[in-house]
Amino acid sequence: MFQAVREGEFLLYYQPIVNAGTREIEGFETLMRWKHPTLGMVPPGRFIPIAETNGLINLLGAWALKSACVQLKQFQDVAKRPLYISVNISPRQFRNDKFLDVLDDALAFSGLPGEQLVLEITEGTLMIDPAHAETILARMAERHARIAIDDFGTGYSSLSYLKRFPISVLKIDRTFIRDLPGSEKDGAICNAVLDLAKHLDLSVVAEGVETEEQMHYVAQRGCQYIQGFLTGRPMAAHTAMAALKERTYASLMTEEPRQVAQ
Amino acid sequence: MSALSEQTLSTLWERTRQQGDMPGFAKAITAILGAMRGEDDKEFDMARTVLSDPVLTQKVLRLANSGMYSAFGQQINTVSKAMLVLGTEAIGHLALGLKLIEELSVVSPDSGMAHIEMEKAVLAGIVAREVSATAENRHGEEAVVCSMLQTLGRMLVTFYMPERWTALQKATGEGKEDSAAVDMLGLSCRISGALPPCTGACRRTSCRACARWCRHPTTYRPSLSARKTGWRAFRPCPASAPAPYGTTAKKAPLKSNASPRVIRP
Repeated sequence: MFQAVREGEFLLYYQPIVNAGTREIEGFETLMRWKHPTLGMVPPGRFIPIAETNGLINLLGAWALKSACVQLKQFQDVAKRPLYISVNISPRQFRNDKFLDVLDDALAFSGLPGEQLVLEITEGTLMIDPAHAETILARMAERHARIAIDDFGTGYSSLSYLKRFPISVLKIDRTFIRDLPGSEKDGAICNAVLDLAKHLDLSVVAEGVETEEQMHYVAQRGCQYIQGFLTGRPMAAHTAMAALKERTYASLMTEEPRQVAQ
Repeated sequence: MSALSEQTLSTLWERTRQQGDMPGFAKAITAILGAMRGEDDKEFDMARTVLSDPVLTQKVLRLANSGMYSAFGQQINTVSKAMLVLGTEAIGHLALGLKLIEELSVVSPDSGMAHIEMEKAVLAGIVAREVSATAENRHGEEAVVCSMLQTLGRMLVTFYMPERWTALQKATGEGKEDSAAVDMLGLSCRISGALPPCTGACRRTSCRACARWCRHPTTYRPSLSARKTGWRAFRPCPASAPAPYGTTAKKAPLKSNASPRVIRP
């Protein structure tokens, strides 16, 4: 794996996060991929735990954060509108002393305003050392970066941290979405999360949305953002740019006839 | 491409696969690793240290221009720019991955020739820096990289194919190895060296071995202005000058009549 870092075998993929109402791309989640010369694509589930153990996650995390910020600038140039980028922060990276320096470097190098960056953290990361987490999250908020709770509801949950920490986004885990709209229990959990988010003034992203029915179900109950195979698989940067171009073009096409009609 | 040059390149490819990367200089590597460990050295200058080792310089530029860093535009032609993109930790990992030439010299006496070639390359870089400074050339660092990596072909041959190098020296006498290279290897040492580092070269030529050697996200492309100023100031062999980025000439200039050129102070 150390050799893979030296050979530049890692890549970033971007999965669109779309507005449930308009279906426009609002942002992307950044996902790491390892393109092994003989094994092909190694899924993140296989290499991230290893990187977490051998410490390479700090290097990879810094690389992903900086690259994603730079990449978003290019996405915005193509889309001609502001977008946001979401980057996963691993527990070890979050606890690293240099994490805030890495964040500052990424923002300064790319010139991206902090508001357009969302840092995704799991519940587990926050609960390892809540006092330390509170300090770091406050520093992140000072830089106007938003904080999302990834896989919400699957980890060690304590609702008190929703009150205590400066959190802006909840991401409903795919396991709660998968059996919708059939499963009553999943429906109840989704409703509860959406209700909670509404009252705490948080945004919600539904992860793993694969069917129109699922999208319709969560959108109807107030979920603003959708992420899943239905609205776009993780894709390479150039594919993402093509998708953005297409959307721009499509919106122009729908506007023109309207103008003519007027 | 002649059968002979194909054969040379496939041998070269085979050996790079077997032997791994060329080694770095202990001095540069230990300085970088020391800085990574936080050893206090006020004199330490990362870019300058990287530029004191041709293999590390090539690796740094190659990584900064690889698909992994494609968001940064893949047009990074100086170590200073590469440092901004990669960060010091990644450069530390590159340094950590290199074997040391000094250690290899003990194991295999053949690597002595490669050692000499690498030191000549460093010297060429130093001369380039001094000349650029005197000429107040804004592209000094590009000139250093260019001068240093120009003899990459000689480094490759001396390191991976020492027996061929000895044969060249026997045929022509020391210092004139290049004049027999086309006859004996099928291609000029200078050109084979110019291939891996210049962007576009892999796509530009049918030189598969070289393309693989640098695993095609390639490394070095001096800017046009640098080629006009700093680069030209050192009168490189025209055939070895990298093609402008994106040009896809069908044939590589594989023949050169120019005399071998190693900058000597």
